[in-house]
Amino acid sequence: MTSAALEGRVATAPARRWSLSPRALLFALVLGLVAFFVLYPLGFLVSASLQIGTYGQPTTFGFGNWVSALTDPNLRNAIVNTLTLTATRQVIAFLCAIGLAWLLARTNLPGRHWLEFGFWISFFLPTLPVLVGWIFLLDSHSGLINRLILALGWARDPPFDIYSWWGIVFVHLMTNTLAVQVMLFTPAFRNIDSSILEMARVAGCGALGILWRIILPVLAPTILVVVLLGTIRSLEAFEIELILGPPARIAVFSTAIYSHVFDSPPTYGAAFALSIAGIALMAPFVAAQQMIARRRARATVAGKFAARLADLGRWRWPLFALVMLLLGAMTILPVAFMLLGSFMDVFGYFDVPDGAFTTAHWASVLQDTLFLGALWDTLVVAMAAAVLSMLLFPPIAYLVVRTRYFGRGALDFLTWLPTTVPGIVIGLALLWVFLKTPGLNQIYGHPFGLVLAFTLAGMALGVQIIKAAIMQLSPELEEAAQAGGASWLATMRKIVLPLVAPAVAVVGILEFVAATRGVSTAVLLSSHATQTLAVFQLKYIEAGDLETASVVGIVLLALSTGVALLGRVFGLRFGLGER
Amino acid sequence: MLRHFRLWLAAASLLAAVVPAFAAPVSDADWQKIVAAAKREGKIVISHFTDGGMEPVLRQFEKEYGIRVEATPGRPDAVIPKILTEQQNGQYNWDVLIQPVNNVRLVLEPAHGLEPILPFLVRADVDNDAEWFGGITAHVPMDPLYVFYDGISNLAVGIDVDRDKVPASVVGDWPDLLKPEWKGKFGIYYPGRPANLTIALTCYRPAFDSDAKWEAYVRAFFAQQPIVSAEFRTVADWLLQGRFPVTVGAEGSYLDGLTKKLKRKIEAPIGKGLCGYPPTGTGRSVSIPKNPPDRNAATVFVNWYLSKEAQDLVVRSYIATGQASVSRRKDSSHPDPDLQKQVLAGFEAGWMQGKGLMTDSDEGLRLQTKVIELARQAGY
Repeated sequence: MTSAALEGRVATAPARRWSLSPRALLFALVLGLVAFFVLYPLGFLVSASLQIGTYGQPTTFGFGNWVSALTDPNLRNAIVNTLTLTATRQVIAFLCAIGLAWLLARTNLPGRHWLEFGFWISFFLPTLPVLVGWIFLLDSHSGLINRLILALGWARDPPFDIYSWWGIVFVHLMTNTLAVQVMLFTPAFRNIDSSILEMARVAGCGALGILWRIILPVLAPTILVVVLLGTIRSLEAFEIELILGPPARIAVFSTAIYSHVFDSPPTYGAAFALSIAGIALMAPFVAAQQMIARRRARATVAGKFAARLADLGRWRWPLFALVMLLLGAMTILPVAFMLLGSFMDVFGYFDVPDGAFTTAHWASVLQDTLFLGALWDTLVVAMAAAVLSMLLFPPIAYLVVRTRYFGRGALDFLTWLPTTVPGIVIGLALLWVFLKTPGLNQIYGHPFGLVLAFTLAGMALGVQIIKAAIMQLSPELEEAAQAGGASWLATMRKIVLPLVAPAVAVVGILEFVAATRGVSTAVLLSSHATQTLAVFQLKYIEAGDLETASVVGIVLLALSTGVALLGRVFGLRFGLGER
Repeated sequence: MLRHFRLWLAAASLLAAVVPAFAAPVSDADWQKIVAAAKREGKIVISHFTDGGMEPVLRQFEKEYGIRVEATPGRPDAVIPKILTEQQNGQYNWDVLIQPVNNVRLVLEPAHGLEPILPFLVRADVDNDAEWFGGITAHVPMDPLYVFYDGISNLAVGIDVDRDKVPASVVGDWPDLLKPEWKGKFGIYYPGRPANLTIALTCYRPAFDSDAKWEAYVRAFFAQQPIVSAEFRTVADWLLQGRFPVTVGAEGSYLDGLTKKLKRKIEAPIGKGLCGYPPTGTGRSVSIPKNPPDRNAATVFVNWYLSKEAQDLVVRSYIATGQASVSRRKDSSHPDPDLQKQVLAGFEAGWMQGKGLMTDSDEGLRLQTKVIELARQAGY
């Protein structure tokens, strides 16, 4: 059984032919829907990139936008910065995340479930207030840590400068990059069957051999997804670079696009041209990932699954302390400063002669009539986006992994595309689609428009998580059920769905959190009638009112953490934790 | 279908009867008709800049007229493309814009996204050149007039110096920033948008007798490789926390407020040859996007907003949130009459197009665009 699992390839049901089975109809429906909502906005981007002239005025068709965007003398540096920053933080995060995931999933590290939850919390923290917290600590002149080191006489000059290349890498690692890798690798490690490792050990394989010949090949699809997703996210991430980059004269690909949109006069055509160039650059990587994942797919959860934990021995507590220290820096420190900031008269200033602390910012937010409305809208939009994702992504993932319909590769590819476009550009494209399309124009300014936008934006991550979970299931489980007389639907309901339920729950929670904190996708699609808390918070950040923004940040954090806590309980019950 | 057409026809007739097509003060009775029609519309949709000053003003309007205000704060660089995209697809969702003059003029006006504003000015105390410094048009050569420039905010724009660290003998005026010792040693606001930095450098233009000499200065300024932040507040924080003892384009009201709170010795702004005294920031404006869905409510709001009562409230509300503000209304009151007098005198003595509007005039916009272009050439 185990060797069969090792050799297991994805199921080979209907090979490259169409039939009128319910599964074929479902495939056609899903492919059509995804193609419409992905290709239609992208078509707009292509068309708009070829329109020359001032936005909103008569235009002509041509390649002027492409020429001006691609010959911009600053673009070369932006691309070099993007590649080097991405590579550096992905490599560091990958090495750390593999170790952390192994500790959390396959060892007897004390409190490993709660430590894993800590990485979730870190991922859920809103980026901008956390970034402000880090600036407060690591500014080369006024940063508290620098001042402390100088005061203790440990250095003559401030050792850290957050407005730097390494500052950008560090903040990315501390906010999202490391946390998301740990979150994705840990379940994958958890799903490796111990018997595989024991067989390798019996066959004389050493620790490195097991890592190289067993663990890495088994995890290859997950690793590829995580690395690719991280790379794509790095291409579109811009909030950290936008604030830390300019003082160090560091521009990246996404800030170049952002500048085209927000500088004056706005040059949308050039922004769209760069976005499409970005998609074109990423497309081969996506295709390569799909090819490799298909060839290297390995099932790890079969009928006799077992996951035994390694004993850390005397390293148990020192490693626990190390992980706690890291988590403290990733969660407690920024949350503490966010909370502190919400009570400070002026964020970051302890030396205000008339008193540094106040509750006025909390009072102002809680009395704001728009706040409760935004809170309600956030709950509605985030919950609806989570539910829609949990309904839509499993069929997509299943159809991609378990069928051989012509076009399943295209379906998989399409799910990636929205992620390769910066949120503000996809927001602009969706704005156009909603306005231009009869029927869809009814949901413009309606919460469902935001739900759709967040679902699209989260599709790549969501589908990949569920795909990874399905790929780790041996087809023999379904085959056995069907051999026993169960229908396809019954097999789905009783075998597949319960096994992938933890991954689906994870996707729902991630989508909820993404919808609560997503700004760039939502800002253009929000209206006076529908406004999420993150957009509400943006109003204060743009006005430089970081104190009030911190209050809203705390509320957002409470929402995300509450849902994560519920999800954790849900996940444990359904097997997200240790099997 | 026919029924709907008749309804539209009736609504259009009512509209035509109530809101005059041309600027002309209306009688009290006609004003009451407009107010009644606005109340029937029931709401008004307003986009305003992301500052706290506007919120109490809008609540007051709601209270006085019983018309629900649906307000969305947003920066013009995000809001205006959205409005334009909606308009191009036949959706007209906005009644009033309260945004900085320069952004509205640079993007929305050329794209024909605005209604001429004069037909909306129907109250005698508003539609009257004598009531306003610079007249209704504020010396803006716009025909028809799309943007009503009602006041000046964000007054302190120029070089800001921490005098505890840098004496006047070291940095006293713009040329001092070109000294080699300041290379890479002062902070500026991001020069890619028409805002504090472009305004400050534009206001330095009168110190030169030709564009070419001014451009040479601006080139040399960027060649000094000043350190940039795209956040107004960060530039002010750099100065107050000591990262840089000199900055250009810090958020004026935030800097002022914090300087007083911390009891620090910050001199801001300095630099001669500016647009007037004190060196004035950007203009605050009210405008009507094309085809406002609640036309009567828009009319009532604009006339109320430009009244003495509302302009006084705007000024007080902005000052309460730490932001300096002066109305162009001649009869408006101000808690600091000297400041008001100085700002308005500076406005009247402005050098562009004879008088007035400095950075928001066509000439001012041209110069700001030039600053942006030169910054880009320098790699910003």
